[in-house]
Amino acid sequence: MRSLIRKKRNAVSLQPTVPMVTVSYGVLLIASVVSIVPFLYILSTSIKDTRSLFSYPPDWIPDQIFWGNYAKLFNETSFLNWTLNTFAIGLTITILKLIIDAMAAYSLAKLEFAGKRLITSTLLMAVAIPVAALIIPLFFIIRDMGLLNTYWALILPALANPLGIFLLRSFIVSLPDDLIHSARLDGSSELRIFTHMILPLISSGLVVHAIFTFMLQYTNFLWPLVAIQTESKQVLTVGISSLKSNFVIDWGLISAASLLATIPITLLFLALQRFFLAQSLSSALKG
Amino acid sequence: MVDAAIEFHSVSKVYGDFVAINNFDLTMTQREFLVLLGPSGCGKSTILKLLAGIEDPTSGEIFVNGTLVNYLLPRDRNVAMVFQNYALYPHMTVAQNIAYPLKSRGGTRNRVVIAEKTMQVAKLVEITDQLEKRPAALSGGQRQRAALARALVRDPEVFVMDEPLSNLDAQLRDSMRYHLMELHQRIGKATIYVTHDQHEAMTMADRIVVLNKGSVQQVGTPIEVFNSPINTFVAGFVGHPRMNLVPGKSLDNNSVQVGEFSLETNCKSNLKDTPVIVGLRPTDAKPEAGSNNISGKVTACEFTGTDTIVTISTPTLDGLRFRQIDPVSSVEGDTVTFSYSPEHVHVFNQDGQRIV
Repeated sequence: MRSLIRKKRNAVSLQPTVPMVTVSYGVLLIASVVSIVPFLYILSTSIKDTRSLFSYPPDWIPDQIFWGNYAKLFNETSFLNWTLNTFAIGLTITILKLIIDAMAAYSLAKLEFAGKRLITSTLLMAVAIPVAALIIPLFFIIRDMGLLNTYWALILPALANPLGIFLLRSFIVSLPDDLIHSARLDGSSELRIFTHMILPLISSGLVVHAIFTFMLQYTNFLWPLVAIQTESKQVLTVGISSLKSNFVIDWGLISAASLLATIPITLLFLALQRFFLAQSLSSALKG
Repeated sequence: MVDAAIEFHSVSKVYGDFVAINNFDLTMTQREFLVLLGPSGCGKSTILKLLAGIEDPTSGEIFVNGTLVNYLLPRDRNVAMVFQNYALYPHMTVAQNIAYPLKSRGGTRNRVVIAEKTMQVAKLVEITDQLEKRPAALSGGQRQRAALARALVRDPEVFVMDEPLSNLDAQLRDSMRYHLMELHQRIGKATIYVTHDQHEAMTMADRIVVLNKGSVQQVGTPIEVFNSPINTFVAGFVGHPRMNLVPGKSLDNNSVQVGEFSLETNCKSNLKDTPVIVGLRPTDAKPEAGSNNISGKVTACEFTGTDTIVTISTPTLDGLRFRQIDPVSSVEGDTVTFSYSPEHVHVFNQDGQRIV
């Protein structure tokens, strides 16, 4: 009996204790504050006029809300153009990448062909090359193709990023081969297997890939800065940074633009976060 | 209709240096239920894949109802396969799974016809109440039935089944085995069934093909394979408990010497003083003294419910196992005697081949 009691005392309880809960909530609270304060600061700055912007001590909420920054953004800058460009380019890249990467991933994961290992390792090596090292050669290639200052200059290089192939390949590899064999016996062509079996079964992987790709394009700065010269053709990131002139930095205007630019991507993430959670949970369970 | 449903002519399959199937020859008749039996990795599933078109043979020819199918796509061979893990499409309902072959083969697009056919086979395998569920919501037995229904729906010429019962518990396996046999009787199509379970093979097969390391060891009815194993591999693999295979030597007068015992056999070989391997099935032993006796001290008893398997050792032999049918049961340390009829003493040469 005594040994039983001792065992019970030594056993690790899975029930969270009050101090554990307090500490974890404390850490979460600090993390939340650290993440949200800059956002709130941008919001506050965007609704202040220049005078109240530099008042000391700073007010989080100004006495009078100033909408001028937003009006100026839409009337005097190409903000709307930049937004449309960013969405058009981002969506085009995302759709094309999903199609290309899923097909490449399927063939690398499940089909047998000569040179498969060579192609896989070459693609894997390409993942390791840092973007900064590619900028100059890429610039010359795109210039020689006569595509500088066109949307294709942004779309084509993005399609060549092989990271998504490996993401989707890991989803497809985990599907049992017998499923594909069975579909073949049931009369499916390779295309039908791809569209009716593979794509529906890796839908969460496709969503994760789509979100990653779109977010990457949405926040891409360096390459659009190099490849696009016309202001009206520019994307949001470069456009917003161009609001900073040489002599005056209009913080209110930049804050308004930054805030508006954050909203769509936040909404997108909130709408699709369950796929992220499902994905991270399933990889956790797989061990 | 041709008499032979399936023919394999000298079919081999080689992966790099590994020979998975070595010169496989087989002819199967219409309506036959043929079981490929062998241990894991013996190549039995590969034979099914070659027939279904999932893999291509390295050499040899395969015919289905007289048509050479080597160069046909899997979809054009009219072979339906039931996989070990069922391979049900997880994103479709049972009804959609069953209807899938009808739709993807480009046959009828008529929804009513598809629904009728789906219902017809669902009734046949008794799964009509599960049609709207996804495979994940089904039990093992129900998944098995759904997989069967999907194989049945397109009315194939040949069925192949790759260990279809191995993922089920013992009780369900018994009832599904009965169900499969009943189904085979009703639809009467040539069926190749792969298993490593000799009990399944013995109870279901019209003929059994015993395979080892990619080569056919013996082809025969369950009775032939059990009563006259062609070599020591078949002798050891078929039958439970495993046949005792002990070294001995041949004597005059159709008898063999095993340890200190001389046993009369039906073997008509006139070899004398030749080393042989003697096979004695534990289940053929009579638990009383007769003309062909082996006695020894009991070292272990395993009670199985209906009988007891006793392990005995003699001054020169060790680990011989015999069956005692209750109520005659011994305990460890007892000295027991078993006798064998001459026809139950199997004799193999040094290479393991049966001496007739």
